[in-house]
Amino acid sequence: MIPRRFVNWLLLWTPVVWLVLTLCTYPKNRPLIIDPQIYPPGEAPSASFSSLIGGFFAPTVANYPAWILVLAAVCVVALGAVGLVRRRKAVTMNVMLLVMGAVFAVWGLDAGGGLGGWQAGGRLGEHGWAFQTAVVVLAALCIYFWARANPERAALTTWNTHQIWRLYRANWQGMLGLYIMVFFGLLALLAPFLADHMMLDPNSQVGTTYAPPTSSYYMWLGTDQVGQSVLAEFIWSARISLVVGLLATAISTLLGAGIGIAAGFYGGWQSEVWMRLTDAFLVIPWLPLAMVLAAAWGQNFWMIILIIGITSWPGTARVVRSDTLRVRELQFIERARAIGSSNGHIMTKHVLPNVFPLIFANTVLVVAIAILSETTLSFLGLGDPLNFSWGTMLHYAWANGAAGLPAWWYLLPPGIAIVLVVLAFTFIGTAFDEVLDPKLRKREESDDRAKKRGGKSPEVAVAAAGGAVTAAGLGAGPAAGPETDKGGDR
Amino acid sequence: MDKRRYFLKKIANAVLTIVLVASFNFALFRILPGDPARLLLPKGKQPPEAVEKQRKAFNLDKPLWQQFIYYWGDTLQGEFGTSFSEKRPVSEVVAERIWPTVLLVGVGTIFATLIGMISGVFAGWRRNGTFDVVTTNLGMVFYSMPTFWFGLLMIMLFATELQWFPTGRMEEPGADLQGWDQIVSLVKHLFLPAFTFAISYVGEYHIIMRSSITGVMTEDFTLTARAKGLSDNKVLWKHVMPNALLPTVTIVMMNIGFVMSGAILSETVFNWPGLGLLAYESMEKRDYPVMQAVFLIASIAVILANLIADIMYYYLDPRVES
Amino acid sequence: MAGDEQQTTQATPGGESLTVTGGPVDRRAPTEPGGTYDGGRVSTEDLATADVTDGVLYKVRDLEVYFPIHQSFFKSMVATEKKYVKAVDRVSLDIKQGEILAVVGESGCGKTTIGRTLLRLEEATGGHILYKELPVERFTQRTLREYRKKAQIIFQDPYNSINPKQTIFDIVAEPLEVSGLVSGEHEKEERVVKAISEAGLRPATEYLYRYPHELSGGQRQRVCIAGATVLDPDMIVADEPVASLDVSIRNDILKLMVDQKETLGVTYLFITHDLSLAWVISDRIAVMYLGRIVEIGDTEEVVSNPKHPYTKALISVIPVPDPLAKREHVILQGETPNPVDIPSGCRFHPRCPEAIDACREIEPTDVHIGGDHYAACIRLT
Repeated sequence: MIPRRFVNWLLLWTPVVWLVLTLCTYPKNRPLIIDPQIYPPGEAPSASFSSLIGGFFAPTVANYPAWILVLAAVCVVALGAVGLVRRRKAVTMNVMLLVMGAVFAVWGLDAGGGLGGWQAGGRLGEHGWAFQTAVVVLAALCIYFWARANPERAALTTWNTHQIWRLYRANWQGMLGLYIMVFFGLLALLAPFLADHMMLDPNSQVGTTYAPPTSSYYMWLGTDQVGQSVLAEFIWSARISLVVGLLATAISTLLGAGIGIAAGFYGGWQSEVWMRLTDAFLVIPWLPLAMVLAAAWGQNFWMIILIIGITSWPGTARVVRSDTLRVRELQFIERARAIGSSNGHIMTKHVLPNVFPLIFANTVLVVAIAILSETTLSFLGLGDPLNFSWGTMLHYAWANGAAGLPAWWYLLPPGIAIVLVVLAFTFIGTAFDEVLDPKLRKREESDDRAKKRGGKSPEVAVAAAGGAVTAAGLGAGPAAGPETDKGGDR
Repeated sequence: MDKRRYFLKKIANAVLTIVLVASFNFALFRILPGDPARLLLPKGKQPPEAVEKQRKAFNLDKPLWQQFIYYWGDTLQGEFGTSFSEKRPVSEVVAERIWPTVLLVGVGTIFATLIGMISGVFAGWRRNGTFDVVTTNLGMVFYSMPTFWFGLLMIMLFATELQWFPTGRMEEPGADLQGWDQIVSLVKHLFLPAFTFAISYVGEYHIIMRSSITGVMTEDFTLTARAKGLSDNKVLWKHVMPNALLPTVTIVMMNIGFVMSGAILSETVFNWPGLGLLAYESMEKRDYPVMQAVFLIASIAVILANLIADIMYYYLDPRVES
Repeated sequence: MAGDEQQTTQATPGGESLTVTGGPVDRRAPTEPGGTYDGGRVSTEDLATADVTDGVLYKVRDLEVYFPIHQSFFKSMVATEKKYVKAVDRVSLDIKQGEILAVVGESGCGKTTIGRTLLRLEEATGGHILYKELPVERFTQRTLREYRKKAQIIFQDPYNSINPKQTIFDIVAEPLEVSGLVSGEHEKEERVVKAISEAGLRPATEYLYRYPHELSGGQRQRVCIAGATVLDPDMIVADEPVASLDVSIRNDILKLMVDQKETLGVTYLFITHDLSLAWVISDRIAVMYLGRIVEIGDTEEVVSNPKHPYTKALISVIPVPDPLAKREHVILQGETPNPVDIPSGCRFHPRCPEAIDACREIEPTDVHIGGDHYAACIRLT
């Protein structure tokens, strides 16, 4: 029997995932409120409900480069084929996977411009939205049929997830972080509705230079040095800041976790080499390095992501390595060897699952650092000149003397947003650290005991519980602070 | 391990890392796309003769291994070429920028360490008290705050609105102050940058000190001290502090190496004429020779700070000796 | 011991003949671990066709496992000879098919190393281990993988020896997956369920999708046993399998092992420091002291008629359920010597209550007591 909760989750998350994916690539110009002032007379589009709905079926939705789609097709087909050959239980799921692979293949063909003159980098395709919907639905079906074939595992997954969620929910700082994230996530996703992308055009002034806020929608946060709407910039900046943070973290975590596990798992000279490399990278101060790289490689979106990714992995590598060293000594690794497992098998099946909680919590903390890094680079004028991010906004504000006016409406919003997002990720990471790490949970318990000895009044204790949680997480191992995230180095 | 061997090992390690980093520096400016000789010239007009001259000057016409040897020879002599924005030797440009940075960073670090550690001690000692909750959460906010943004806020508040302090630079342009007036002016100019710099580290030091104190407080020897009936003050200063200080001091020392990042930001915002501002300016002007020098100095600072931390550790922690 | 007197010559599948005698033959220098590896490797076909002929599954001949001591670079330059921990020092013994052979000794006497070397978790530095007449140390990597389906190990600590992130099903199924023995999910599940219920966790389906932390120590050890038996091995090395369990559960686990020996025909090498446990469970006992076997024989024979002073000392401290029984407790003096500097002559002489002057000089050889019973003490000659 598939657990009821599992089915409910599936019913809830399928549309949510679909919506998020769709909004990520939604056409940029479907605002709910239009300021006709910025358009030449007679050219202002009308902001209507139908144009908003039409956006979901626009050709610009879900236009990924063709090669990514082909790659996805190959991977999915391989997964399904292996499942069928190995005679896994979920036959229907594997068939579904093959169908999904076919959909990806057709999509990739379509995006690359059809059979005649197919291009790997092509991102055309009239029906991206339809393909994307099909893929999401097929994925949901795959999960459903997997659960049908393996009900015990589905029950187990449900129960585990529920336990983690239950523990997480009890941590109010984690929840606060989550709420902040949901807020900024929605801001970023709904940007096409919330602010007209035309507002970012250098020619679209909504007021005079540095006009203070008024009640008119696009003037809620006043104007900048050229009279553009700060609100529109702020909303669209959320996208870049978050996406750069997340993608850079992905690179950093992959590099850091991979090198950390390799350095910890293999002994001898291989470990030496990896650790020397990590050490050398740890002593290179990242900001000067990132400045050199950004100055030389040019300033575009992908370069910034790459630069932040390759300058922030050593901290992760270090933490992961020390945990791998701990896991390596556990006896089940020896047992795995005794039954003839290969190193690769041991690393993926035994080491990785045991190191994973640490990697996960660390990853969330790295997102915070990556966002700060992006902001810093953009502030120094090394950001992507074509896109606004909160750091870019602060760069313009500083370069144009907003602090001397003082144009607080231009300086405060981006900064506060950064602080909130970074705090939110720190909170979430700390909360996960606690939820996933039994050792820390124990430490909290001993702290509780210490609290009782201190004889604090219960109200104070309750009010302070949050504070205690924070620092316990941050100080996870006193040395973790500066080593994991190069704390002050930003 | 005896003292000589411990120190020798640490020093050898530091030297090895410096060699690695310097080699990385060499590689970095050669794997960059484009002709290094062109990169080392100002943008825009690059006559072939000038490129050729530059190539000669930096030995770029020689094979890579020879370049490497020449690079080492130059670096050891403190020779980094000529800054093309200022048309002066890089070593000269860098030399005059070092002292302002040392002043700013020194004052800022002393501020940060004192405030952060003292507040951390009290927060950890009365864990979950009102003071702890307020300072720790504040520390978290400081920790998540971009340094430069805080600097901008400071300018907005104290320089623009209240006009207590100047908005930037090290001294009033044109004013020729002497004696006491000069010092007062310097302090006034120094205050905001140093404060901004300090704030970016206060939160971190507070949190580290606090968790270190709480860690030590759950140790058995603290319980023993309490059980003996010692006063709280005695327990704190005689038993908890010496043990809690150790990791914090090490971390602070290691962090000092990383001040370059903080210096770049607060110096840029406040126009403080130090190495950080130099790094920013050279980056803006693509002045690669200067960037190379600043980058090397920043890396060596980290390595030296780590070395000092290791040496201090030896004297602070008797366990290392055995 | 069994192989001492006669000299056997057998052709290894590689074509090269390998002489196995009681004396030191083909001793590889400790400086070159695995010295005779090149040539005469054992292929997977050899392993598949090999069979037990004379009822002996393993023949261990002059096994040596030396671990080099790490010295600092400078010291190793100056030092004339490298130093070794002689964990196992010229040990010969037979393991008969379908028996439980207990290896008894103090901690650090090398008993665990023997077990691990049998599975090649440790490389021998000298001597031979013959599995179905095939030299284990000459197995190729592929042969080794096949061999590991045939020989399994159970560790002492059931809390540490299974992955806390895997379900019971995954733990027991892992050997099947790694060895590629089963072709489909359904067959795998059948075999896992069978192994788990044979290990005494019934109904097995109740346990499949649980995590180790939901089980007690005894149940975990049963999971380990199931994981070892799921491949139908010939041999299981049980390294102190009950040492970390509650006394109340020990019996059940021991009983399970005896049952499995009978129903599945598994051979056990039962490693323990507790002679009374060995007495309960084993068919034969080998007593080890400092890398050497000092006495070996049928369990009843060894326990009722111990010849070696060390065995006598061990037996004298076994508690007997008769408070009036008058017994002399032999309390050994001193600590086990460091296996780096092994005493001259009989290695037991510094602690031996019956030592004579000759023990200092003469290294004892095995003395045949009767039947399968041998002891290494010069006073018996």
